[in-house]
Amino acid sequence: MTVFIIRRLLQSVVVVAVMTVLVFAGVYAIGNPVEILISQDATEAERAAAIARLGLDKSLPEQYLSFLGNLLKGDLGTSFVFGEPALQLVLDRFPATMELAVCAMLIAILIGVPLGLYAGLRPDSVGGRTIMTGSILGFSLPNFWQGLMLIMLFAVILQWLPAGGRGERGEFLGIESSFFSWDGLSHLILPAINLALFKTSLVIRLTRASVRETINLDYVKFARAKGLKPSRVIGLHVLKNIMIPLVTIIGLEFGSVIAFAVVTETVFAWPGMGKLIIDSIFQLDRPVIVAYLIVIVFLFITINLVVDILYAVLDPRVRLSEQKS
Amino acid sequence: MTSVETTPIDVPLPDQKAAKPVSPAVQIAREFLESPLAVVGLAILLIIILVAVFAPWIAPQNPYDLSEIRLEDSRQPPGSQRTTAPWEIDLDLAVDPSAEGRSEFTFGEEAPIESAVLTWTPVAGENAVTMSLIFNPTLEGIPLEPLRIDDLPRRAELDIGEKHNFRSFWTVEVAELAEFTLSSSRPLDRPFELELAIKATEGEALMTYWLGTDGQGRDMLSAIMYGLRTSLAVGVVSCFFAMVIGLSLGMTAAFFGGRIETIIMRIVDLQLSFPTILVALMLLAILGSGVEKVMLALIIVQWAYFARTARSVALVERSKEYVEAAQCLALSKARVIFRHLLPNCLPPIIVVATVQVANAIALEATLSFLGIGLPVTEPSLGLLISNGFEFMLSGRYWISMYPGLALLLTIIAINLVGDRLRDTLNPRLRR
Amino acid sequence: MWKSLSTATFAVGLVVGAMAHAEDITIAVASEVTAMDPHYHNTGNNNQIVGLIYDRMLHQDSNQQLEPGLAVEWGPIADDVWEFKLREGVTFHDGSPLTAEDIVFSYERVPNVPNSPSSFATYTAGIAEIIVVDDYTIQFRTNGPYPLLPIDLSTIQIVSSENPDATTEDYNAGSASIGSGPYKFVSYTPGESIVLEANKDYWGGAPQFDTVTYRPISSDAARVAALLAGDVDVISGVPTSDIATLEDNPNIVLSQGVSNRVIYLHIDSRRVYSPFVTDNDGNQMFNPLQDVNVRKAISMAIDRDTIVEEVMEGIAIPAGQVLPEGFFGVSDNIEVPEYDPEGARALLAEAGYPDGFKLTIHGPNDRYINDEQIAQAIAQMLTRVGIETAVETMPRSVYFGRATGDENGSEFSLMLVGWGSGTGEASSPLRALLHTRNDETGLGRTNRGRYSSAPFDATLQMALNTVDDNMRAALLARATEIAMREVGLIPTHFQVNTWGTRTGLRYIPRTDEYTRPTNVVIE
Repeated sequence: MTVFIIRRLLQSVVVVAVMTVLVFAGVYAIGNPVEILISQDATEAERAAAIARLGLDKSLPEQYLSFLGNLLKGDLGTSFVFGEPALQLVLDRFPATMELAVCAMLIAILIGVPLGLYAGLRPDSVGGRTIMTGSILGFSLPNFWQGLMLIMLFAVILQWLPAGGRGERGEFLGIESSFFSWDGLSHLILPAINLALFKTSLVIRLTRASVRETINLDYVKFARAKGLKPSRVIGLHVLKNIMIPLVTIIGLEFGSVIAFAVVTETVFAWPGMGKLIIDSIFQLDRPVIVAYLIVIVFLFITINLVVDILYAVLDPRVRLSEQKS
Repeated sequence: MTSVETTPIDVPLPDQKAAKPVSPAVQIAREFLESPLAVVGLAILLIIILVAVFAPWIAPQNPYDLSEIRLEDSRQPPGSQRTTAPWEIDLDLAVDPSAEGRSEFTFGEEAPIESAVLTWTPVAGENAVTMSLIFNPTLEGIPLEPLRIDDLPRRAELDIGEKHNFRSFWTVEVAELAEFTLSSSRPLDRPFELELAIKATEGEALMTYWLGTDGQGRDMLSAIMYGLRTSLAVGVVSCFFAMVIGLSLGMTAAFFGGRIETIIMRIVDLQLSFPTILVALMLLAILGSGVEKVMLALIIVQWAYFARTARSVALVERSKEYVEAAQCLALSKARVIFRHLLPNCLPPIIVVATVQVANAIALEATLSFLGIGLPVTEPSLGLLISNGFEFMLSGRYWISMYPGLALLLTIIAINLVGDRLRDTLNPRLRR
Repeated sequence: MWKSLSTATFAVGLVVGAMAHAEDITIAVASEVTAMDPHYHNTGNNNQIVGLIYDRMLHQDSNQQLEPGLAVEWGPIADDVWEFKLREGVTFHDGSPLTAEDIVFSYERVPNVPNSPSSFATYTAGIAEIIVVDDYTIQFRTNGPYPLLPIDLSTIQIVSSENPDATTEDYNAGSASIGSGPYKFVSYTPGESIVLEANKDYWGGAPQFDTVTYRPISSDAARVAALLAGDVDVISGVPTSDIATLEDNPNIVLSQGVSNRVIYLHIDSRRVYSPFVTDNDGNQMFNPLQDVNVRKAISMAIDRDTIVEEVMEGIAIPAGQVLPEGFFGVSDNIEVPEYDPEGARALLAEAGYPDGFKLTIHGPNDRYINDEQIAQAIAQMLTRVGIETAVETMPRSVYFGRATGDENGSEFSLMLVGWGSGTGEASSPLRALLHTRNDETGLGRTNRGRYSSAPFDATLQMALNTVDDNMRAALLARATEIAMREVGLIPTHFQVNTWGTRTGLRYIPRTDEYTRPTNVVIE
């Protein structure tokens, strides 16, 4: 296991290195952030001074080397736009994005698993078919469009929920979160639904497929033959077994939820990392782009690692195959 | 030479009982058509493809040709008409406020009136002039835009109509022109010239905008047809290249194994561990926008899906007897791969391809929405939706709604077909 | 009308202040603040908020006319020396008195803010020496006659000299955000909110709102939705497409005002070959835009009324020069060019292009109101007179760098740009956009078309060295007339900004486009 973890970490270092080179070269190629940031009245000398202050007068390799040097010291650079440490900026907005992602994932599971279970147990019923067709709709609705429609309907026409932004945070056990205040929750609902829709469809389909497979396995047939109540067969035997693929996929998809938050956060003005990265891309704020990517890479690696470990815990067979390879 | 033990357990085995005298294609087609929903999806998809392909010949307008679209027709609701330029005339009302006066205007053929008479009288003791403008025949009953009077002397005011919030002109009614007064806080000692703009509301009908027009006066129906073309082209072309690349790399990995396989599959794993939207976003931030750049970004984010599927299928197929037989015949490696292995790997790849085309279209729309996709003069569906959303709150739903429905319909149709294909081609294949 | 409006604001402000009405207000603005450090980044978006926490030597009213701030009297005592008398009894939010020392400290801090992407140093560059006569009298010696000094000083916030080493981060955290303005800093949460509270001891009277919350909502639609949903009380930048429906909404009040921003076309008029001009077969050709008649034809081919009516939905003013009527240095003799497609075609034929040529217009797609649409509309109009025009738009991050180009000129041939006169008078656009480019003096820094005219340069130079206001205004108007006659650039329209408030509040428009609680009237 240790070897496994070390290998993963080494891999991530390579990824980070490749990413930073690409982003550095890429952002360098698009344009000079000074052109957007500087006052329109500035003279040439001031412009040169601003370029020098941001360290943009050096050649690209030089800039990269000094970045690497600072990286080893744990310094990811200072935002061109905000003048604050880039990593700090990204981490400041991390909780907002996590809140959204966790809430979306919860919705996806709470709605997706029961519906998927139903569709799997009664694949040919009207309900089962409707659920499956509905899940195709869920896959097909482009995320941003669906978000805009939600705002139109619930915030503008019905005026039930706020249109965007993050509400007040409540405190519970020393943790500050939107979950603990009504205002916070009401702001959270629409973006979370928006983000959850795609994943709900995925969970429905996954659950259904797993149920369909498990239900025909011998041990389920045996349990039925024993005369166990259907609810017990499903609740204990079936559900327990489909948990394994479900946990894996949900874990892995968590990363993609965080990534898709870019769209949701833009639509709902949610002050998370995704909003920051989009703004930074438009303003060519390279240190922030790089810091965001590094955070994301490590997040993904952690998620993958946790999922792998969970998988091993849930399914003892995995450990055998691990030894073999 | 053949190493069987690497075969993953979850790769599907083909249905052995399917070996009936009926050809597999017919078998699959039959099975596919059993689902009415899939048939509907297929029918919609075919129509969409036809529309997209033949758009230049069936669209009422070329929405990309700037000389064909007219700004004056912008934001018209569905069913409105494109008309000839309406009749329009600017009258210069020259007035010398020092004495009474009179002037006459005659109009050309296209105007529905013949002449007008302007008379004015200075108001004694005040900085004011009373004026009167009589049309012959009268303008009453002719559909007109609100009349505007502009170019008043500085600090002058009218006793009729209403001055615009922040612009210099006054809006007046036809009837009010029979007598009105211009007064000023300063002495009116110099001649001045008011400008009166008269504009008819309608001309003759030329064509109907069945789905309305957008902010530039583009026919929405035509824009959607052309937009479908762009969206489908981006989706299909990028998927095709992604498939070619993914298939080659995946099969190479499966066939040669060893270090090549490790390297390719590591890259695939790495890429799949990142969400497509994020990778595409970064790529476009680096590459800049444009059709070919969006396609490139989509190819880069998609090839890994094909490579993964191709490898796992190829691994199973490779261990089968027909491959071994081909190898025994000492056929070249290329021939074994392309003539024997490839055709047998295709079914699951096709399923992945359909799903990916739908994903690519949605992804392109999302990127365009975020502002880093396609150029504005040749909008895809995503860009049409995003351009139209600003009009949504003001009730001009058609600019965003119809392209949105077209996009939704396209993706649903593809997904319905893909879903059914998955069931028929490979009942156990999962996303 | 300008004057009466501003006095009205002041009066209402006083009345409401006297009523001491306890109210909170939430304002949604389009862009996020980049820092709470008032000297860090010179953008309108930052200035509108830090300007509430701090005072300036002179203030700009809603129409960018100068009014007393920390200085109560000011004027030149020699051609190159200005004297300012300070207001007495002004205190910072922490209770310490504001003196000449703080003012000197602030001006010295301006050029030395680390990492500043866009500093205010332009506005202190004219100062050769600051002489503190006594606690409440300061003299400035300038480099030669410098009539713009009062305007320049009206842009720089005065901070307390008690925190000499405060960094941008200290300002963001609030520990150094101590000013003397009408509102006090409470909190700053990047991307989410800025909270301010009333400074009850403000020298101009206690402000009318107890707390002010700014929230950045970049999406136009989301910002409007937030107002409709009652989440916020005031929004800036109401999109033109929503104005018609919002006007009918009984819960919303809109107010509109002309801004100091002109939208115009820069034309590559110097180079022998221009990158995006070709003949009708797509071959390179001698740059026709060098010919003043071709530029004039382009100007005549643009139907400014239709752009205003259709693209801007009536919310803009057709433009014939670089600042709207009423601003300092504007010419009374310039009319908005008439739309005349036949005349344009005839001029083109006369210039030797009876069949026109091909051109690409470039523009940003996220900078000005409806920018992308305007570029397309102009392309439509030019195509109709025979200049087949393609459109390319891009995000501002890419656009402005490429439009400015390098010493060889812009990367584009015809570009849509805008300019807001930060000083509220005509010298700002004339210096930056039309003077022959000179990297040493910074004149013509943004002259992307490289228009260059000796008579224009001479007239403008003379204006810049004239301290007498009437003379300077006349010279600026004269310079504008020269540049417009030679079509150094093609103005299309002046931007009009629209603010939305919930019923019960009304916003008094500012020409500098700022959105401030001090301009909100309770009705």
